[in-house]
Parts: sequence; C-alpha cells; structure tokens
Amino acid sequence: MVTLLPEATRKLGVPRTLHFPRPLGTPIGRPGDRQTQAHDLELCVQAAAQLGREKMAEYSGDKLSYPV
Amino acid sequence: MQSSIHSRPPLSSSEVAWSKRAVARVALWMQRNTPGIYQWYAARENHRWHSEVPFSPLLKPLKQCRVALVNSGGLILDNQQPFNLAVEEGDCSYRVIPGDADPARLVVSHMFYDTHNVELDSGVMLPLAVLNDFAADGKIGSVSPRHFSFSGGIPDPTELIERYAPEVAEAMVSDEVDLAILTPA
Repeated sequence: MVTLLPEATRKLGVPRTLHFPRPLGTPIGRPGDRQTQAHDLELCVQAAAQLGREKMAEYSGDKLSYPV
Repeated sequence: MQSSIHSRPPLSSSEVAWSKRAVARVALWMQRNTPGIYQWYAARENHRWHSEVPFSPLLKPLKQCRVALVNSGGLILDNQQPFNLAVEEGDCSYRVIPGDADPARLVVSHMFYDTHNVELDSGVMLPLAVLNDFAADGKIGSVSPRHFSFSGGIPDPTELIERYAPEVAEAMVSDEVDLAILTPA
C-alpha cells in the first residue's frame, strides 16, 4: 500500500507500505507524466516483493530505503 | 483544465449539506496549511479502529503475478452511481473498474482531498495504463480484469470492515489476483 500519511499508517500497523512524501491526492507520479507514474508504480511492486509484515519503505531524495 | 471539485458541488448520489461541505473545506485547508496537525488528527481517528491487520506474503515472482489496483480516491466510471457523500458515517461501498476501462471516462466522487491532479490525470490514483505496460513488458504476469474504487472520508468504517472489504477480497481471490496495490487519496 502507498501511504501519504505515514504516522496514521504506522499506528494502524498496516503491513508492506511505501511512503511517498507528497501531499494527499497524488499517490502515483505526476499528472500527464506517464514516466513518473511508471517509476512510482515500479517502486510499489518492488516494495511489495521485498517488504514484510509491518514494514514501511521510505522514498526520499530519489532514493528508496527499506527498514532494517 | 477542469476546475477543482471543491469549487462546485461534489459528485454525490445525494446532495451534500453545506455543513458537511464546510467540514471538507476545513480538512482541505488543514492538509495544505497545517499538514502535521492533519496527520496527527488522521492518526488519532484511525487508531480508534485499530485491530490486527492480516498479512499475506507474496508467493510468486513478480513476473508471474496477476496485479490489481485498489484506490480510495473515489474514482468511478461516468456511468456508475456516485458515492453518497451526504451520509454521516461515510459511504463504505465500492465500484468495480474493469481492467480495460477508458481513463477518459473516470470521474471523481470524493470531497476530502484536493482532486485537482486526479481530475487532470486519473493515472496518479489509478495507473491502469502503466500497469498494462508492465504486463506487456513482462514486469508482471498479468493485469486483473477488475479493479476497485472506494471513497474515503469514512468516519465509521464498520460496514467496510464487515461487508465491503471482504467482498472485494473474495472478488480478487476469484480473479486469481496475487498482488493488490492500494493507493489512498
């Protein structure tokens, strides 16, 4: 699951989440820009394959970091 | 460019009272101007419904997975019944979006987030075209024949938990979906 509200997501204990630091309403890429949408969706499927229970990956500064 | 949904009555199956529209405007203002406070409020409200969340590990390589998309941005086809944004407890129902849906026919039935970008391009909430590209490129196995839209802004998710979410889960099992990607508003 993509989350734009990481604190709320952590409190709920949602497993396998990816935090994009951006305002609500635009979880995947930019409007009219299929390349950024493909980039973000690819991060989602990668995170789904790599993350375990109650783990949140963070996307920041063009880098995806996984929890230790 | 379309105008924001917040400058006109929201797309709803019942007329939304001015008081609820005012609450939505306050929520939007907080999201823009005091995001930290909005997040604190959302975390507090969500925590009221905290319970054990099931976890299912991915059982196949991505190249073999059938993938579905689930969003809570209120995206519906223009011939579908809009969500009922007027009810106090929130509309917990969902709409089925076929995998071959024309993105130009997707409209927004939601009033608790800034819908400007999703009205410009539904791909930021429901990236069906990109997902189909992934299947064509062999990054995933296939695209599910059905995807699912919910509307957010649900103060009481009881019906969602007890009825609609299990229905959607059963539909995805029936469609042999291996991975669902959830995109919230």
